[in-house]
Amino acid sequence: MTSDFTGRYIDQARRAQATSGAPGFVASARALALQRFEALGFPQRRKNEAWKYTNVLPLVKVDFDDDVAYPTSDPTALERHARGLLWAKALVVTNGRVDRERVDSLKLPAGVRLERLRDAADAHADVLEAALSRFADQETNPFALLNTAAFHDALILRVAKGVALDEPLCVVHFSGSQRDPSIAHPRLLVVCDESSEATVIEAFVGHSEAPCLTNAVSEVFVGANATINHLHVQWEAPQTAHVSTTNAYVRRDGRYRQQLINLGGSLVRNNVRTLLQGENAECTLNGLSMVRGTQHVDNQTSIEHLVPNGNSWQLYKGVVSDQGTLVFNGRIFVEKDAQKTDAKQQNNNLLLNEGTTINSKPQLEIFADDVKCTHGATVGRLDAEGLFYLRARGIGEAEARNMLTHAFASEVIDACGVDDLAELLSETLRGWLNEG
Amino acid sequence: MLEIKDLHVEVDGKPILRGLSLSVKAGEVHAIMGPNGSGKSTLAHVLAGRDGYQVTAGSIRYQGHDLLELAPEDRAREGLFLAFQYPVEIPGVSNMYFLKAALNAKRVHRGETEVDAFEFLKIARDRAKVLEIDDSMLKRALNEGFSGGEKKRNEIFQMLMLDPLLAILDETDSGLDIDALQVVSRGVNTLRSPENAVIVITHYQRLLNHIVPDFTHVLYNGRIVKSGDKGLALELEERGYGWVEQEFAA
Repeated sequence: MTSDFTGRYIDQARRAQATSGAPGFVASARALALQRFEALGFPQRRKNEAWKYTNVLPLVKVDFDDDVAYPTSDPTALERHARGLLWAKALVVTNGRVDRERVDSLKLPAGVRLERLRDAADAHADVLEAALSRFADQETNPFALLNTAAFHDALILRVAKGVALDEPLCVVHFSGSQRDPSIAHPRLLVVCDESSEATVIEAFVGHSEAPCLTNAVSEVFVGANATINHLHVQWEAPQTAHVSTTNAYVRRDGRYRQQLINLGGSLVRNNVRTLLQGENAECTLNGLSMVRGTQHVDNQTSIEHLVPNGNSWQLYKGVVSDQGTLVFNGRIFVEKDAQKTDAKQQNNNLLLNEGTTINSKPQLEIFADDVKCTHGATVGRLDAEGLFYLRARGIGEAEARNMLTHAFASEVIDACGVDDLAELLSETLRGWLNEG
Repeated sequence: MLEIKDLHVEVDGKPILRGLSLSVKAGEVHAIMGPNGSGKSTLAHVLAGRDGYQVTAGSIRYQGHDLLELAPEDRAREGLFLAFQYPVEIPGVSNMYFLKAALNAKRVHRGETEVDAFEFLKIARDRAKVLEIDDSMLKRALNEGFSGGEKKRNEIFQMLMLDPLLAILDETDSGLDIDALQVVSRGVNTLRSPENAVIVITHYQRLLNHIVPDFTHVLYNGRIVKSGDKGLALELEERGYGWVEQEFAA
């Protein structure tokens, strides 16, 4: 059913496709994605179990403009909002757009290519087939389909066989709008060939005076024996809603690690799906969500063990205060043939006051009989013993509470694998706590 | 320094301390001994300001303050220190970070400037040496995975760093072997001066061989039933608590 407000998104997608300058196979994949988005419409809470706790209808009714090139006229805004993330290998994407010169000016080692889809679709036809056509055909999340249909451009990162990216590549998605509501559809495709290694940071920052929506999709192909550390740091402006879809496909002996950090935004919905497609593949999905005010953060993860001998670890933590809402749904699917799977899931939440809402749900679908699968969820308050111990040493109550909260959250930050980022996040966390 | 008068304390409506009085002056070391359940730890917790204890009668004056009116952190900043019987493990907070925050909280309270990381480390290493604590223990998370002995040593280390006026040791000797006992005692004796005072709460006499008290008190049934000098501790060690129970049974 197409209501008036989906019609606007469809028109925007048609315009985006008409100006993309992409070859036919890309165009037909995107047309298919649009068709399927049109058929599905935006998810409705009552009809779609996966969206039970998150009502997107008020959000998508906003009259978003998809043609805002730069969020602000203030040239210093980026520095301010990028918050120390503009490292040596950083690329800034503004509202889903990036200049070719900026991409080309990045000094990347031999064997590492970073290109825009509009410049190099033909060169990457082999991977785009899976990343776009199959995606458009099989994806069921309407937001991800909309991204595929409506993105302005996409970035493609390829790491050749045996190559290790020596330092993290940081893609800073800078989104928002100075005046009118705007929408951005950032798209990233990461393809790491056999035995390669890379750390990719995606940081979503923004500046916005108006309600905005970032609708991001990242797809990561982890080759045999490759190791990818993928960090998703969501630090959007307070008025910005953030919907993200991350799909990772892991081949034999490959390792995919994702750390999902939520610090900003208004309404936030993250979908993280990992498919362990080759034997001995493994993944680690960690998350930290700091939720306050009236923020609503909904994290949906799905780890699919499709073949034998896969390992997965998951640690999702949340700190919720004021009238914040946090949702965690962790699906673990184990295929009939995926024997000797070892999957561990942990979801720990800290409530800082009354009036917060937490929904935590493990969702285990296990069809093999020789597997180890453990999960646990906790919702608690700060430890009274610990608080008293700190106060008995002269540390004031507020600082003691902050110290214990910081300690709780640090477990995820410290495991992020990038020391500079961990330090930055740790400082940010202190700021977050002091503001509260 | 400390004046406890006729203190009555209940936990969940059950009387634990029933009219305890104690006077401690600067420069003194008091030992408080008593059988299990006599109220020793309750006294320590009430002095430090832990929740869950209802003071139903009596008063505690400390350095001119009504101690019971002060929040736990203010008691600490005014120089009161409790070495916990069971130090709490706090994962994610490093020993150093914690202690620097504690030290600076106290310094700010006294109108002194905060110490920076460099200065702090200098002081910390100096004090750590007395207790045979190495750098790695300073960097570890507070008490996390520490052995019983390490935890107790860390308590005494914190005490030396914070340089309290009144230190209360709550069964610091429990679970310590003889070597650790000597190290801990050395730390406490380093602190002793004419300006400060120590209350040693213990079940056994052996710690008092190393930290020699000026006064020994026997706590029984929530009251101090007998006071004496260090000789009383030896008597208790020899005769056990049975005679106290017989003599003072309610």
